[in-house]
Amino acid sequence: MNYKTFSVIILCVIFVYVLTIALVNIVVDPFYIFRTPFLKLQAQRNDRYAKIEYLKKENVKYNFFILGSSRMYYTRPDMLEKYIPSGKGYNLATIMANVTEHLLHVRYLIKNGQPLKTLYIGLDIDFFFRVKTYKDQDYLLKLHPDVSNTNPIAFYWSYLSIIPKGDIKRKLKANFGKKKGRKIQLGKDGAVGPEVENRQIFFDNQSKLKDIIRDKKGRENLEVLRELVVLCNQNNINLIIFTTPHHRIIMDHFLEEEYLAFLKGLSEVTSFWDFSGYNSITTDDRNYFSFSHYTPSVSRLIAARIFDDKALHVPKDFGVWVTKDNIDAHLKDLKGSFKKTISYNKEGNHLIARAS
Amino acid sequence: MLFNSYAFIFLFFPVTFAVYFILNRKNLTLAAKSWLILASFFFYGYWNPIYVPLLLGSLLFNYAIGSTLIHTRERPVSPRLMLLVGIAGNLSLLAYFKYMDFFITNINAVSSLNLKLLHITLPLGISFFTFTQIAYLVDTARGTASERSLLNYALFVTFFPRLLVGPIVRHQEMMPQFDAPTNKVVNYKHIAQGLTLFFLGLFKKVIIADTLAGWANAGFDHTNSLALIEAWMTSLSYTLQLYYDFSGYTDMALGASLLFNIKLPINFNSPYKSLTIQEFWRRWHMTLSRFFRDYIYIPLGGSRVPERQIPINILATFFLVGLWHGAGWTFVIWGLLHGFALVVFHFWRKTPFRLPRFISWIITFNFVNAAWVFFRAQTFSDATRVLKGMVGLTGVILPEKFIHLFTALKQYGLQFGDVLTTIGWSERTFSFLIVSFFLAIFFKNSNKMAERLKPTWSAATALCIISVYAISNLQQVREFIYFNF
Repeated sequence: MNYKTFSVIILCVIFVYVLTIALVNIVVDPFYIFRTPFLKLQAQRNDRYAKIEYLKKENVKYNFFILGSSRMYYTRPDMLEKYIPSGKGYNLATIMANVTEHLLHVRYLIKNGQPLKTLYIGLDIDFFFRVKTYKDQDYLLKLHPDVSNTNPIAFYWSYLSIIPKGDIKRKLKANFGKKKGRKIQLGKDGAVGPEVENRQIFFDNQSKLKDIIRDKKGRENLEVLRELVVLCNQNNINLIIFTTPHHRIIMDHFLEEEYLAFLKGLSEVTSFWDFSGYNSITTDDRNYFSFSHYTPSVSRLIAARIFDDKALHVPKDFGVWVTKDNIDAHLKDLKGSFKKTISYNKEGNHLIARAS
Repeated sequence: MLFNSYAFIFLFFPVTFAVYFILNRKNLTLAAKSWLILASFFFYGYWNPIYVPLLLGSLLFNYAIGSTLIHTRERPVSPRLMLLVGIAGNLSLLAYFKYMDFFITNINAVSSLNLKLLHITLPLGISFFTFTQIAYLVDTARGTASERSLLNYALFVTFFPRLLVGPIVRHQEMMPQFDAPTNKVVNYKHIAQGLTLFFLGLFKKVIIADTLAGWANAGFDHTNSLALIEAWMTSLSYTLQLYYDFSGYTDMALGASLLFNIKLPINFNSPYKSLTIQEFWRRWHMTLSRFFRDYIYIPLGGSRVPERQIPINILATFFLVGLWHGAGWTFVIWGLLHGFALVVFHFWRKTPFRLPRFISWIITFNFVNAAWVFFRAQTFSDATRVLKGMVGLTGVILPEKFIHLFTALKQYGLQFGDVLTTIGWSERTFSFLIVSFFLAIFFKNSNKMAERLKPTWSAATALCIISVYAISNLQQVREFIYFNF
């Protein structure tokens, strides 16, 4: 073999390898980015990308948007439209969304001519402390390139050049396995249907709850939220912010002092509705279909409290309007309310919920 | 742009390479050089275009000074003054962008001024292109370098394989290669060697260094909870990470350059095999060592000064070596530690005692490993915590499975429990560390492998496996450590 053959072999092998990986990603499309028609059923999708693509393609104008994590998936815009005069809304909630992403999304919406009048944001205290931005390698959580202002070629190439073995396997299973996946069709409103109502609560992934509160990230995210508040003020956007009602198991993992300090910090940035804490909703397992997600009926109760809808019965202890003037009194009420309502099994790994 | 990115490997490099040789084939030498300069500016600006004017300004300034120095050789004008102006200009640039906040912090610490920090983003490669140009000015003043063409000078400074992290080259060792007619045509031997070097470097960076980085970072982020084993794993992870990261980058730079038929000076020659600290500095970041030797140590008098002056010269040089690496006292301490070690070695060499080779290696490697702790730690106290752990002052915890073997030692404070897991390590860490350690100590380095490359099927198969494996891990892109310097 001479040096020329040697070099050509190396280059050809690399080229064929990269081409093969790209082809596999196009055909399997594990994150539902390329929308190729080969494998129709999905195991998962990148919602951040899918929802912005929908807004771009349909070119419909909305004057209010729902932002938040998967906990906000079940908040239907049509449910809120009755509270917001001439409101037309879209649910832009995405899995594990954080406040940096809210800011980027709002910037994008303003820049792209959405007549934004109202923002309805559910803030998760646990995510607030956990993340500021996700890594580039989190392919399910990557922002649309128009939102993150990254090069679209680099964005699409990143999905062509990876080898997500687990995700490919899941997609193949969804299409050829016994348990079929979903044929994903995004609704016009971006929300997910109410099929989780009345589903019995399940307790998964609770080990992730360890060390929920980290002060540094919380402070950083408060600064990002401050930017969002300023942006909304500058653009005359009515900003409705509330803390999501965390199940008591999540509350149990908060450090009391840090949690109260966070609420105090939040009140200094903006007024908000506080649905967190131990109350008649968060301590009742029937209101949750997983320890992390509340049911659509709780979404309706939240809206009823915020918009003072007398037609629905909202428990008195559910939801407090917090401003910098009443924050100290609110914290006084909350202080000492922490009670451990969970216990560990023998291995100490899994949490078992006590009957509420 | 990063060498370890798809954009570089599959787009930027092939296009730059193809156009360069097509232009040369058509005898458009000037166009080929201009294309390479243009591509280099694109390479530099791809990351952050706002510093392209800085690079251009620095280049033009030094070209002007260099041209004046060339003319002053022919006229009775003081070249010394021009050289001083040139060096002062370069150092001012470096002082502003790299050291301003360091100066302000220190002024604030010793006064009540409370000046505001400027938080200037460090322009990529500034230390390298500034030092390259200082060396050029000095060589021009000495009459060993001379460049009258702006195009050639721009190519010398910006040639993308070595622009960001070196090697720090001399004008006279690089530029004649661009003009050699044989270097204007594709050379398949150089392509084979270049590809070998590039992909070995990529493998070192992506597979070895980036894996070690996770453990090193975890350790240095938890300096409070490091017992003996964790502290050693942390320091060794970083020691090896730094070597694979930097030498990996250099391999890629040398490989990419060789594809253009340009041989750059090697920067690493298996430094962890060194038996003395002096040998270490002849094998580690060789072009930087050469720069400090030729442009700082020797002008200070080097070893041709009275005996009592030599330690001062060594310490002054290594004070600057430390400061060059970073605007922080931990870097200065690291530099001075090496300076002291070289002073000790200088006097030891004059005694009749000689240590066995293995003992020499153990001492040298452990000194280098311990000194890197200061280099990596964010603060002095972080560094001392890791070092305390390494000498056992923070306790010794062994894995539970050894409890039966060492129960008797419990009374002496030995503990058993979760080792390493607290900072995200697994048993894989040990095996990975051992393998990467052995590769660094007992194997031929990549330069020698590329130099002795024979185009055989086994070599092609091995290189295919290495390159495909490295490419398949490219999505987890991490910056190179030396980008920070």
